[in-house]
Amino acid sequence: MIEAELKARVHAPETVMRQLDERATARVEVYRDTYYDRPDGSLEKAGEELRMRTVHGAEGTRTVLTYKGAAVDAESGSKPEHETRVDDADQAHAILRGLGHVELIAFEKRCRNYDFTAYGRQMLATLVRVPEIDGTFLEVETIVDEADVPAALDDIRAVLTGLGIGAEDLTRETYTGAVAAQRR
Amino acid sequence: MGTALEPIELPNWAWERAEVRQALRARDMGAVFRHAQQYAGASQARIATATGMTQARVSEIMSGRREVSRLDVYERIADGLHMPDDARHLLGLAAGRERRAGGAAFDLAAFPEVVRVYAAQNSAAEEIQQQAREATELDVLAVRGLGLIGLNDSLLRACLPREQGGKGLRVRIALLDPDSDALARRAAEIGESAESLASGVRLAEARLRELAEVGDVGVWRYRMLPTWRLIRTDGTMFVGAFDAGWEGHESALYKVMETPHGPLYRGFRRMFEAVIDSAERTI
Repeated sequence: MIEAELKARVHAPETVMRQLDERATARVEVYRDTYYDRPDGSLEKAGEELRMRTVHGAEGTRTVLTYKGAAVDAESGSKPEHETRVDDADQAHAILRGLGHVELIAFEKRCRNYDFTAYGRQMLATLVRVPEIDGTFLEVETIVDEADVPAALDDIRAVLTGLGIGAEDLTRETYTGAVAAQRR
Repeated sequence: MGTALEPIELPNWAWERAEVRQALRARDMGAVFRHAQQYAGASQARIATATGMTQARVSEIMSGRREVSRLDVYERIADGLHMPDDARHLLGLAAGRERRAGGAAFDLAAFPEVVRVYAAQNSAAEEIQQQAREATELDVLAVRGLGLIGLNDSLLRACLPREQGGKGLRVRIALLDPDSDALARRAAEIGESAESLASGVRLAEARLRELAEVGDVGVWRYRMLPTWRLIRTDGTMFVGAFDAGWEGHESALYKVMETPHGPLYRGFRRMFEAVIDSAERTI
C-alpha cells in the first residue's frame, strides 16, 4: 500500500487548528524518531527510510518499526509503506544495529493527529512542530493502492484548500533534512 | 560571585567586545561561557542553572571536549545569558521571543507539555521503568524513596547502575532530612511517627550507599517541606505532589515532556537543581 501524502507549511496555525478541532478530536502525541541507514548511506540515496518511532500519547506509549520504499509519485513524494508494532523498543534498536544499520538521525516531533473521513477516504491530518525547525507543518495522508495515488492526492489537495492552504504552501522538504541542516 | 540561582547579566559593553562577538560568530560556546565568567563573575554552576544544563556539561563545553550544535541549546544559552538581540543575531538566532507565527502560546496550547495523566504511581510504573531503562540521567525528589528506589523490589531499583551493568546512568536522589522540622511535620501529615519516617529515610540511604560503590549515584538530604514529587528520566518528567493525608505514591501523576517554551518541565528541573544546591550530600 502507498501512503499518499502532502505536506505544507502552515502560516496561520491558530486558524488551521481551530478548523481541524471542529472536524475531529485531536490526539496529541510526541514522536521520538530514530532513522537508520546502511553504513554506506544507500537507503537515503535510494529515497528509502528505516525508522523506529516511539509514540508518547495520552493513552499509552508504543513503538513502531517502519520501512518506506522509494517514492512512487515524484510530485508528492508518496512512498510505499510497511509498518509493524514492536513490543520492546530497546531490543528492536539492538536488532537493527546488529544487522549492521547505523543511526542516521534522531529527533522529536510534536503532533496533533486528526482522523476523519473526506471524499469517501479515511484521512489523517497532523499538525506538526519539530522543536529544531522553525514553523508549523500540516501533513495530510491516506493509504491507497498505487493506481489510486493521483486521485487520492487530488482529494488531499481539496482538504488542504478547505483549510486555507494553497499549492504555494506545499513543501517536499523532509524533517530529517531540515534537522540535519540545523545541526550542522 | 552569586549563588547558582542568581541570573547572569553581562554588561552591555561586554557584548560589544571584539572577542565576545568573534566567539558568538564562531558559535564557540566554550569561549562564550568563559566570557560570562570573566564579565559577569558567573561560576560554572550558575551557567549550568541558567542554561538548563548539568555543570559537568558546562565544564565539557568550556574545555572543548564537547561542542554545542543544536539550535535549541543555542536558544537556551542565549536566553540563559540574557543575550541582547544583536548578540543573538551573531549566533544565528532570531531576535527575542515570539519568533514564529503562532509563537510560544500557540505551541503550548497545541502541543502541551503534559502528554499523559495517571491516577497514581502504580498505573505509571511500567512506563517509568521503561523510560528509566533508556535514560542517561535519573533524578528523584522524594520523601523517603523506599517505594521508588530504596528496596530491592522498588520501582526504579532494577534500573540502577549495578543492575544495569554500569551503562552510564547518572542518578541523583533527594530525600527529606531525617533530622529536619519538615520531616516531623510530614510524619504528622501522614499519621506516622517522626521516628518511623526518619528511619525509613535512613534505610533508603543505606540501601543506596550499596549502589554508590558501583555507579554514579548521589544522594542528598533536603530540609524544605515536601511539595512536589519528581522522577526525571532525561527529557521526560513524572510529576506528583505531597499533601496532608496523602502519600506521595497516591498522588495523580503527570508525564511532562520537555519542549522549547514549556514552563513546567523547566521549572521543575530548575527546582530540583535548587533543592540539591541547598541540600547536604550524604552519598
